[in-house]
Amino acid sequence: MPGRSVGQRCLCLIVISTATAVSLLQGQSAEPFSTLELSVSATGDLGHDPLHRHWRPEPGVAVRMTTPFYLGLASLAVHRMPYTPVQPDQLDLGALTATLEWNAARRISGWLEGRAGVQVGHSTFKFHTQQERTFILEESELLSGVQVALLLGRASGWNLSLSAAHQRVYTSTPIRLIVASISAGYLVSTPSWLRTILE
Amino acid sequence: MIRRRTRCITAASATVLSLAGAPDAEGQVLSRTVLTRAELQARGVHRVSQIAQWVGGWSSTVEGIAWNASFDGIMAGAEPARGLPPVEIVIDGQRMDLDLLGGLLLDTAPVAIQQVDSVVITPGPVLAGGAMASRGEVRLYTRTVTQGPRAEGWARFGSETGDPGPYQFTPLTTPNVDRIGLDLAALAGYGTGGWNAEVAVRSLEQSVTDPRLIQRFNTKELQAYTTVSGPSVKLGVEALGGRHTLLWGQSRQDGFVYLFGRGRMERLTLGHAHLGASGTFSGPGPTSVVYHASRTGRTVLPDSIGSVQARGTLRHERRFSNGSVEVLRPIGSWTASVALDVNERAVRPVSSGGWRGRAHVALQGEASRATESSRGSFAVSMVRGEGGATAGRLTSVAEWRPQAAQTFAGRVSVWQQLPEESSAWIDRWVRGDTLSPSLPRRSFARGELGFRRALTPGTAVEVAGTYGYMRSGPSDSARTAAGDLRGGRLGFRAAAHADPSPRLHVRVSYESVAPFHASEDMHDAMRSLPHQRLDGSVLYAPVENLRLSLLVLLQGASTGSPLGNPAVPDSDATPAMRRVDLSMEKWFWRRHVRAQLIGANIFNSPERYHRFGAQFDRRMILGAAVTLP
Repeated sequence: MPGRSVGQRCLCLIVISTATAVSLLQGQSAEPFSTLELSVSATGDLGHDPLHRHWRPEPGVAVRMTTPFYLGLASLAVHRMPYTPVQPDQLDLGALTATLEWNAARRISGWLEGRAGVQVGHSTFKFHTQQERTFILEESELLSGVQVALLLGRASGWNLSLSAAHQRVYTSTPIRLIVASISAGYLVSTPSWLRTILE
Repeated sequence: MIRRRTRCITAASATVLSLAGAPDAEGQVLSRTVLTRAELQARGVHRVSQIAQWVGGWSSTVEGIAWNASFDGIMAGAEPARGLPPVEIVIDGQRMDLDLLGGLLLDTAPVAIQQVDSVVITPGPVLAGGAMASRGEVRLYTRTVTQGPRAEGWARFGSETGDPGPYQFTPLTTPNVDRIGLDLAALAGYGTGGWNAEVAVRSLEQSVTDPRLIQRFNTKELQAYTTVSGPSVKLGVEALGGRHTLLWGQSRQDGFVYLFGRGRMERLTLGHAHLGASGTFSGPGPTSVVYHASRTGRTVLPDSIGSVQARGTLRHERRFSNGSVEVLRPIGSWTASVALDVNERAVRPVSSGGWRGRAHVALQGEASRATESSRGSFAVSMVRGEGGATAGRLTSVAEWRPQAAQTFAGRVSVWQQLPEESSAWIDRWVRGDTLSPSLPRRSFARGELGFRRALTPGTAVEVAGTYGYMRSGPSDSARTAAGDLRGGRLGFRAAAHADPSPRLHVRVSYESVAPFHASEDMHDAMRSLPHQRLDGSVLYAPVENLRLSLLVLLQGASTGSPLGNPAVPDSDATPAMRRVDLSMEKWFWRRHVRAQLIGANIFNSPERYHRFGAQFDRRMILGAAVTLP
């Protein structure tokens, strides 16, 4: 991948191969689509990229829905991250990202679970201005990334998790984001109607 | 002890071995590539035009809208190909007229890709329904609703990487890049065992904003969307011992399109209408009859909305009427056929108001033979009568210029079979054909030596070497060129497929060609297409409702000028392509819903199909289809 450093490639490779290996070795413990984990996260962008020379990231919020897949876990997440301009002549910026994630999960102890995986998605950047609109106020681009998470809680009910994701947005000048999150989640059985649809 | 049986088959099937995709059933003389619906879906083909990427041979496009498939190694627009018919497109037995100055506007075909059940590609000269498709044929078969009511809907959207993103108001801003879609299509139908009726409508949209195109063709409109939309109706009925199909479709294409014959992009509005009937019925005794009749009309006008710089100048009306009847009768182990094809093609330049047309009548004789271990066909003797007429706007004076020419195509094949538990053959054939002198005179001969062996059930490998020689008279536009274009072409092809389980399908094919003792112009034209191509696919369905696909397309660089224009710098050469696609399909709701996520060209390798063409960067496409009930 042009422009990507050796370190980043190694990081991606390590996360992907480890996650896949763990999943394959462990096998699938839960039936596909049998449970649904809903979580809300507070997020922060810790990246140092050309983007951050123009905009300062503010705390964001994400919601995520996770379910056991045929192998590992599949998630659908929506992440809202506001940015404020560094220069006064810049416009306010908001990023809305939708991602499809796949994770391998391994329960380390009764209360602790580790997850690692990959994600692909679409980032939409929206500029905010009070002025009369004379230009395109919305731009969007593809993204991919890797993530790791530590989840504290039993296999059912409430849980708390800490996670970090490294995302790359494929704009002409690539954007690299490091997103840290703290999340609260709740695990329920998938309603039968929803399971019918998912299966 | 290995028991060998050797058979000699003399066959008139003017086809070549197809080494892309699935090798044919054992003993099939007409070697063709078949793309099933499942393969089309897994490859992410979401427009009819995208079939061209996967038909084998060499495909070229500049803007992703007008495609050209070239099985004979000569790109559309190149001098040796001028005046020659394009690859024939046949839908449900009905010939289409989708060519616009060398480019095939496949998306204006009267069907949506979602209606297509399978695609059969014959990558070489073939006689079909009495007509000679001298540069090959792509045949589409549509699905038929057979059990009560059915409604389907599809939506598709994609985006290329490389947008300016949030940097658009900073010094790091760059021009916008292409997006794909939104493509929408819907179908409603009803069918029983005896008849069926379907109505479909589609709307496709694609932006043509590649900076290379904008700079080269001075198309300064950044939001240069090209749209295609239109309805189609299909009626089918079982009667007279066969099935009959009536197909009507209308489409309109607005926006930029590259004209291969002119070497430029123009912003045009095209109206396209097709009405045709086709089918088979039983004749007396074992005789069967295959027929088709169709009429296609097209209007091409400069787009009235486009800017002055980008507006086109091409304007004409065109109509194409075609009918054929083919009678087949088994005689012993042979099948004999005779066909009559009549077509009329007329063009009226909008500015002058006159029509010019051409009609031809062709007679075809063919006999085929099938045995336990082999199948072939024999004898083609074709006499073509042809005349041209022009009619002035006021005088309506017609001029009839009858001409006649003979077309010959033949195939000689030697078949050897190894023991019953395995399968292998060696096939040698040679063919030649000449076309009407009213066209630029073109003679062509090719020899091929092929070998295929089945290793295990579901696994086979195939290799073939070819030598072809082409001689082409200059077109009217190049009468001053020094003499004929002529040249030889050496080729090597290999393919393998393996289906170790119903859930896993692996295909790989390789093709290589090189000019051999060719004239300078012919050599240049051949070099305008890549010399090597490898196409591989792995389709894996780990569970019933999930399918993962890996597709690889590797192509060598090409350097020659398709237009014979030495002023085009070599820096514009088409780079080598290393395209890798990943696709995931998931079915939901008892398979009523199919969602697909495609990552195309995931390594962002330079992906260009023409030296003047746009570069298709890494892109992601998301699609969904709903089927009820």
